[in-house]
Amino acid sequence: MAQQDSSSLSVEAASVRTQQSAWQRMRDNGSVRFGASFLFVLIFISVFAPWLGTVDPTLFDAASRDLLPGKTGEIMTLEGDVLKHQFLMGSDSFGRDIYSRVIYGTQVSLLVGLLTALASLALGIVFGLLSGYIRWVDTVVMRVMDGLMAIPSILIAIALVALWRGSIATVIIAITIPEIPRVTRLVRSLVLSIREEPYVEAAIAIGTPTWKIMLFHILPNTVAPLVVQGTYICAAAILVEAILSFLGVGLPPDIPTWGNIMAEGRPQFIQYPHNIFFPGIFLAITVLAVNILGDGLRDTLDPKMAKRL
Amino acid sequence: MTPVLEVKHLHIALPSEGDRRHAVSAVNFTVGRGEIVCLVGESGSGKSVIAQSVMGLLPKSLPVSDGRILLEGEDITHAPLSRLRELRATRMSMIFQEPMTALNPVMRCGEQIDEVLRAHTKLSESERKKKIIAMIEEVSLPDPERMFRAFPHQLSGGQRQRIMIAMALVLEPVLLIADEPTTALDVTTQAQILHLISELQRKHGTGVLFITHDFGVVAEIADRVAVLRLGDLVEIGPKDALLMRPQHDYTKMLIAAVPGIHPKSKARQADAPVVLQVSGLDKRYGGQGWFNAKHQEVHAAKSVSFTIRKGETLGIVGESGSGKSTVARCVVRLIDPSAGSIDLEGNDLARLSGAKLRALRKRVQIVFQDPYRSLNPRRTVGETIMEGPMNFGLSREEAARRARSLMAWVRMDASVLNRYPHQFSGGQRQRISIARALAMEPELLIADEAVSALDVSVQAQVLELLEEIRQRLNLAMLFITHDLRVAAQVCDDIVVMSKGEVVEYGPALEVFNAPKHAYTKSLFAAAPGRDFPFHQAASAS
Amino acid sequence: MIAYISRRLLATLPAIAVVAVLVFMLLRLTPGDPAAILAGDAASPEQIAQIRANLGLEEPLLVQFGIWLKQMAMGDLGESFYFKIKVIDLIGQRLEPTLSLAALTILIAVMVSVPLGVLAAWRFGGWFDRMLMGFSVMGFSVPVFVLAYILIWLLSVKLGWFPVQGYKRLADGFGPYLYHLILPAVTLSVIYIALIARVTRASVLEALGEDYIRTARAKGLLESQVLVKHALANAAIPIVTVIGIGVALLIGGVVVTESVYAIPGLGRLTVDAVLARDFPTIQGVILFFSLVYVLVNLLVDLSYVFFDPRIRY
Repeated sequence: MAQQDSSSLSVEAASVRTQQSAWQRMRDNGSVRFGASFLFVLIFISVFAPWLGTVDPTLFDAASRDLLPGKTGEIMTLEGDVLKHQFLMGSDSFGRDIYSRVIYGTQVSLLVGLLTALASLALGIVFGLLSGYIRWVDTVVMRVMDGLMAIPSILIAIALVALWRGSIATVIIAITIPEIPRVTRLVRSLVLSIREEPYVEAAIAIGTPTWKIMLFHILPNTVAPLVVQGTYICAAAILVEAILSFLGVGLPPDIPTWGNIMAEGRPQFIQYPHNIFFPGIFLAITVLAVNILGDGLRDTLDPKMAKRL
Repeated sequence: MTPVLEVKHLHIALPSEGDRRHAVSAVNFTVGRGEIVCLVGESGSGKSVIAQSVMGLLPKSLPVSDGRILLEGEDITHAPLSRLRELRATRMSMIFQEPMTALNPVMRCGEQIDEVLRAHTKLSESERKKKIIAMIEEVSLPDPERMFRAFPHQLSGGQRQRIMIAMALVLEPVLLIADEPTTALDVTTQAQILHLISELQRKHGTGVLFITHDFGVVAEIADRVAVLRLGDLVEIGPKDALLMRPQHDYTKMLIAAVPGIHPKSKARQADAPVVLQVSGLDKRYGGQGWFNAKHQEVHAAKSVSFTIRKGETLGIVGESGSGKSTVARCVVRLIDPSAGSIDLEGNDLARLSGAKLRALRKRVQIVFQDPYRSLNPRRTVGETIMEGPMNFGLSREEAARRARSLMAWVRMDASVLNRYPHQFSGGQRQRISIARALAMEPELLIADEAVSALDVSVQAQVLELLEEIRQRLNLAMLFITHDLRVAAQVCDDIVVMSKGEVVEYGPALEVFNAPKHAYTKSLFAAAPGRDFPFHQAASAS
Repeated sequence: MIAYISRRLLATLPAIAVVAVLVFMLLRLTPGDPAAILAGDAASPEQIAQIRANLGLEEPLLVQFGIWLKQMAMGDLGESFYFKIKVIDLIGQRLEPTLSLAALTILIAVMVSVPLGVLAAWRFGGWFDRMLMGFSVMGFSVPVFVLAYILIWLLSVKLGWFPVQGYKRLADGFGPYLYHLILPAVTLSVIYIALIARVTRASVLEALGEDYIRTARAKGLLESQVLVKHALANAAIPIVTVIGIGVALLIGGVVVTESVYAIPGLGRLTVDAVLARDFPTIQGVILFFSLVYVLVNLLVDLSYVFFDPRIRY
């Protein structure tokens, strides 16, 4: 009996799968668009800070202390000139322009956020890959990470900054260290689960050496969750830096950061709330935008993680 | 007499982004009292959707756009949820495919059955318990008191399915919908559950709508059969008529694709050289670490021995936990054997490691079961096929050339090499996996349940492909499967494994026609539809 | 089950050990003489020498660790040169406010977030779900102290409903005690609610996608039964887990909240100690918080025994 050409009748031939590429999905996602555009605005602000109607944020003038938002006053430059200046967000108890300080503060926050995210991702990837692959490294590293995670991260950050004196580098290191265990855990669990996948076993069977497997099979499949995690770390880092500065244990007061501005505004909060509200709102919206970006990335790049968090 | 279930001109729409507009279109059939109607089809046929629509369990994204569903004459197509709830478990019940996940893991089995009684009756607690115990006995579960108090994870797959059946039938509904209830079970367990269902059905006069993709099961229990393809009902009729004299082309194709359970005799070279000789292969797991009792050690493979010659196919047949996959993975050295030797043309694979092992890897290749996880989703198909040869020194151009010629071998177009796995169907992905294996020019090809996850028609194509390749290259093949029909079609010799041990080993003809070991006999006795002359049917039409 | 409990208990030991080592190393990582740091800026050379002898700073590192460990185990956390009393007594003094704040916060948070999360999961994609997710993101993003100031400005300064700052001890009356705690607890609970609601929603959603939910509906059960006895019962473990992990957030939040609301608890103590570079106190507080965190998570792990019968049998 001549066998019918089953391929034409086969159910499989009937359905063709179309799928949008990851890029397209990302571009279409509202959260990604909102978060990313906000991030661009922030980057713009921090790069073009000197040209946005600001003055040097460290300038102060005793005659212009505690001005309410919108008032004009004068400010003395380093050369001794006296300028007329409108204090869009008011001035603090030293007579510094809050608007300028908030704008310049964007630089610090972005720097801290991005560098912390990059550093913790990089170190976490290294530790996580090694733990996922080498058993004795795994036992040692995971015990240390468990211990590290047992200490609430803000305490570690506070302690480290207290010990090493505040500067951008130490703050970044202090915030990075508590974030490493979480990234390590994530990478490790990804490595362990991807290793079980048949396509990795197939790669072993066709003789691919371990380092190539790590580089070409495992790592590319971890990019998506790591990008999402990195975004969240960026948001958390910006927050932690602000908290540290607010408590007085962060960056030195001469560097304008949103937390520092708020710290200085504490004593007169009830009479002059603008010291706290303006930087506070900037801070909240920035962290919100980055978190929303993270949510959007997670929904488009890594739907499995969406179920977990 | 009013039929228990009438489905008239049913249309169920799909969400608009899909490539089809309907999950189900213009489907008509009935289920009478005491009758078993099988809905047969491959993936995407809509059989599960129909089953769930009767119970009203479809999500809002799959609305019934036309047609009617009548249960004992009552139109329940758009019945309110409250009415559906009243009918569920009392007039119509459903059992599902995965017994492992269909029961709430944190609730005792007895309590889960009790929920049905509490929701629909006003019986007292002691009356309910009596009824439940009686039902548990009726589904042939030993020690009903213990079963009542047990949690699902303490039971085996077959026992859980019996609990599901008890839950479904305790209030004696007139309609039982069974959605692939035996697909996830072992052959012997499957036979028991099928037997249980038909027995209970006869006793209570229940109408059964049985969903399956397995024609063996259809042959075993159906009264009438309906064949579905992509949402259309292509043929319906009494079992014997439909299976022996199918009318529609699709039905004919499907039935022809079912492998017969009796192996054909094939010409064999008596003095072909031995490619693989496995002796005393042993694999143990566990048994170390703190708080791990010694008895937790698992002896996955016990002293397994067999031989494969050039141009021959050896099949390892067994149920889950038999150790067949363990053996395959030891041979391809994805896991290390605890003892024994794996002699590949003079080299003992079991003893080698490092660079020497890698050099020999190209001689043994494997194709896995799950087509959706066998290919790296972030690499093009071409890269995947070229990876192996490049590992062993071929340049990119040479590897690309080999990849293109291999695509012709597996009957796919070479131009698709730069696409990603998600753009291919399951059957196509399996072909790509085969091409990847062949790119290494191996002496031995291992197929680890390589067709188990495929639809029947696709399965037939892939098996045909493998046979063709084996003949052209004179390959030796090690074929792991739990499906006796597939084994009968493909294998020259058979090893039957149970609980890690080889219980029978011999030429396929001998093992199938005259099994010696009790386990082998029970395995064959359990194969559904084994008495049905499928191949005579195929050649007659 | 016994095996599980013993395993869990033993698993805390490495974590505690690492915490101990890290805290121990903290002092020695600082530039400068550890003894001088411990003694404080106003110490005399004799005091410094005394401390040096006590700690055994001349000995090899391992011996120092042994001495330190013994002291910690016996409750001798050193003496705060800033507050001029023993650290352990200092912690004892400040314990009540922090525990009260934490307890009230956890109570409010759990009672609010779990039902909200279940509801959002049940009506997945609906307006309530989207609102909750929006609120949750905001809860994560608005820093605790900014929220605190907003609430203080609105509810205390403008409306006068709550006191601006301060703490009243329980011994002075339950009414005032609660009255002073409400605003801080609500402030702190926001981030906790955001976290727990999210995880509740996610794990109930995952449970709702499981096969046994379909079985439950096929049995004709009411939706409320399906949600609670089937979905929530299986979602319990991730929820309880995150309540435990969230305690870390709580501790961080406590530090800030006590600062803003002028509550004399351990959080305030941490900040004051850091600003004064009062090292013995810093060390003591970190140790205390870490041990509490390990303990809380141990209790969470042990609670799994109730939620998952697979562990019991």
